[in-house]
Formats: sequence, structure tokens, C-alpha cells
Amino acid sequence: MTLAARLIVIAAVVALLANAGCATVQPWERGTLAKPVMAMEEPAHETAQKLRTYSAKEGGAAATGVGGGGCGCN
Amino acid sequence: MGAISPRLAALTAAAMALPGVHARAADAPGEHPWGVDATHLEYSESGNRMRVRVNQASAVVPIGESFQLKANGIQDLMSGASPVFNAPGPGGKTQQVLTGASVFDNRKAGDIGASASIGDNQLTLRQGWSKENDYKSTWTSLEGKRDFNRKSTTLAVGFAFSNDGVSSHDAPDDFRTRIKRDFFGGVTQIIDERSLVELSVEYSYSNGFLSDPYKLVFVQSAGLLRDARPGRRRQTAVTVKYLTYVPAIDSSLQAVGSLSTDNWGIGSGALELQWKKELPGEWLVNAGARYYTQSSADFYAPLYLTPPGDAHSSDYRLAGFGSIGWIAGVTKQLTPNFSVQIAAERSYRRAGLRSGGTGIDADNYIWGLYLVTLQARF
Repeated sequence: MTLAARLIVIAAVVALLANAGCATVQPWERGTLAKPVMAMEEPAHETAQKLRTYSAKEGGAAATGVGGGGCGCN
Repeated sequence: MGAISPRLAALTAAAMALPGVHARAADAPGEHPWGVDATHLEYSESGNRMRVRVNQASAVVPIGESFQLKANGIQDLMSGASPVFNAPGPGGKTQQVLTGASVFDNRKAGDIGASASIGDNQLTLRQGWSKENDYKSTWTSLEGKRDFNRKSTTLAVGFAFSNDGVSSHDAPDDFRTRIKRDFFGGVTQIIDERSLVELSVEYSYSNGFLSDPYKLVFVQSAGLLRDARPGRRRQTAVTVKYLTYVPAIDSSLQAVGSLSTDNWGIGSGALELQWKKELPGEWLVNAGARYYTQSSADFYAPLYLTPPGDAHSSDYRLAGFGSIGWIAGVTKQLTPNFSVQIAAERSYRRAGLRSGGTGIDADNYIWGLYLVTLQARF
């Protein structure tokens, strides 16, 4: 099995584990999830600039969403 | 009936919108449909290498209740020195050869986008451009998002296509084509009343001129050759993000892990941990650390004793290395409509932290970035 295939299998297992036992949390039970410290997203500009820095300075990749062109960054 | 406080109203509105929190989808219609962000960033590297100053501004404007228009503009001012190749140094120790401090470029980039929300579905189309002296890029992306299970689960898929042109100072009008296609899928799940998880997978396929026109390789028996990389690259990455609130410390803890692999032989892993806490007076602070490691590309070597094959590169970014960095930030809500955010990250690269392959200490360096953002929401 290639490394890519293994990564996808690991991801699928993690997804299944994450979903296992997840009871639906009702909207009125989401007060804690709505706190600012529970925002899944960093501010958009900070995220974009950091991802661009990682992309320019590292040879690996991350699954961070689509969009954004290349640059001649050295 | 008593009036609802603005803070409770905000929390309720945010809770009802959860978990519309996936990457690049954070601007979903909500409490503040109008938004303007302005950022200034300073980036620098140790050893008098690259220095970049970035100015970025973006705006989100609602059209009715179901549509949004978005615009974003960026200007980068880059200067400083950059590694070109490695050569044998005194005592047989390999050393870097830099460009000198003469590199200067001015990059201008922008994108516009439109989002439509229909029930539990959201569709976003974006078109972007980027131009600098020796690089130009045009890209298009399409993203779809759907909420399930009373918004306990969000599924996101996306596709992007970019068409880039690469030239060099020596031949500024000789642009060579580089094409990239990105396929993305992700799911965000509420686990319980204080935990969220997000799992994302991305596959990229690039072809065309993928070499760096400014990089050279040193061959002991033949002198200098131009950097030459395979004309096709396939990258696969998986990222998992877990965020949980810990009542005992009245804070949240976040972990982000990524693994990637490609057909050039580079395998990478990253782990980022962050602590986030609200403080009285509408302050929010965060601090954390990031660890990254990669193996070298199959065709990478710091320098070559004999003429290499068709693919060869000594680019420090294709070497085996690792890095450890710290992250810090603070956000202050000035008024209900305005906030200011300061963020910093500093990363220390070390060849000894590589996960495999070849890397050299001469490539070790430190980079840091510091940014300030003003946000307005109406």
C-alpha cells in the first residue's frame, strides 16, 4: 500500500472514530461552542499569510482548502 | 420580557450558525454581514536574507440575504538575499552561496468572489490574479458546503485551477507555464457540547515548468548546472484539527496535525498546539508551538560529485529538515464594530530534525513574521 493510500485509510479511520458516539448537540446547547476561543478559524488574513509562508519555505503540504495563486517566493 | 444583552444575542447567533466554520468559509452570512479587514505584515529571515513587507485589505458586502461579494488585495515588497547553491567550503564543510542583497520585487495580487447560500448549502466562486516581475498567476476556485444533522456536521468540497507563468531577471519576458489543480474535501463535526473536530484531505497535481530559475547545483566535476525538477508533481495531504474547551482553565486547547506525501519523495508531518483564553475587557490571547519535519526529495543533494541525472536540485526547501516555532497573538475588541489583532510566529529550522533523507546545517536559519490587523464589522 502506498503512503498516499495509507494516509487516506488513516483519515477515514479518524473520521469514523470522530463520528462514533457523536450525539446531536442541540442549538441551545452550543453556548460554549460559540465562545470566541472556540472559533475553528483563525482570522482570514493571518491564516492566508501563514499558509503562504509555509508553502514558500517548506516542501510538504497540508489540506487547508483551495484558492490562492502561486508566487515566485524564494 | 427583558431585553437580551448584545453579548448573549451574539453568542446565540453564533451558536445557531455553527459549525459553519470550515476553512475559507468563515465569512458566512451572520451577525455582521458587512466586513472590512486591513493588515500590515513584516517578515524577515536571519543572516540578512529575505525581508517582506505585506499590505492586505479585504471587504465582504452582502447582496440581499443570500448572496455575498468579496474582494481582496495584497501588495508584497520583497528585498534581500536568497540561497542559490551550495559549494565546498573550508575544511570540506558545505556552505551556502547567496544572491547578495540585491533582490527586489513588488508583487500585487487580488481576488474577487461571490457566495450564494440556499438553505443548508453554500457555494463560493473566486477568481484571483497575482503579478510580480518574474511570476504571474491566474486562478479560479469553486467551493461547496452543506450542513447536516441540524448543523452538527458540515461537509465541504472544493476545486481550484491555477495557470502560472515563471520567468527570471535574465529573461524577463520568457514566461514558462506551470499548471496546478487542487481537489479538496473536508468534514467538520461537533463531537459534544465543548469539542469540535475537522478532517480534511487535499490532492494536488502540478505540471509544466516546476524548477526554480534562480537555483543552481554545484557539480564537483562539471561546475554549475541549472536547477531541474520533474515536470509533474502529485501531492496528497491529510489534516486533522481538534478544538476543545477546558472549563478547569476556562480556556480552549487546539491541536492541528498534518501528513503529506508526493511523488518527488518528500514526506512531511506537522503538529501545532495552541492555547486560547478570553480575558476581561474583551481581550483574547493565544499562544502555542508548531513542529514540522520533512524528508528530502529523491533527486535532492546538497552538491554533486559527478554529473547528476535529468532531475537535480540543491534547493534548501527540498532538503530534509525540521523546524520548531512559537506562535502568539492578542485580539482586543475595541467597540462592538471594531477590533485590532496582533499576531507573531517565529520558526527555527534545523537539519537535525529531518524525518529522512539528506539535509545540511548550512541551510539552518530562522524566520519570523509579525502582523497587525484592523477589523470592522457592521
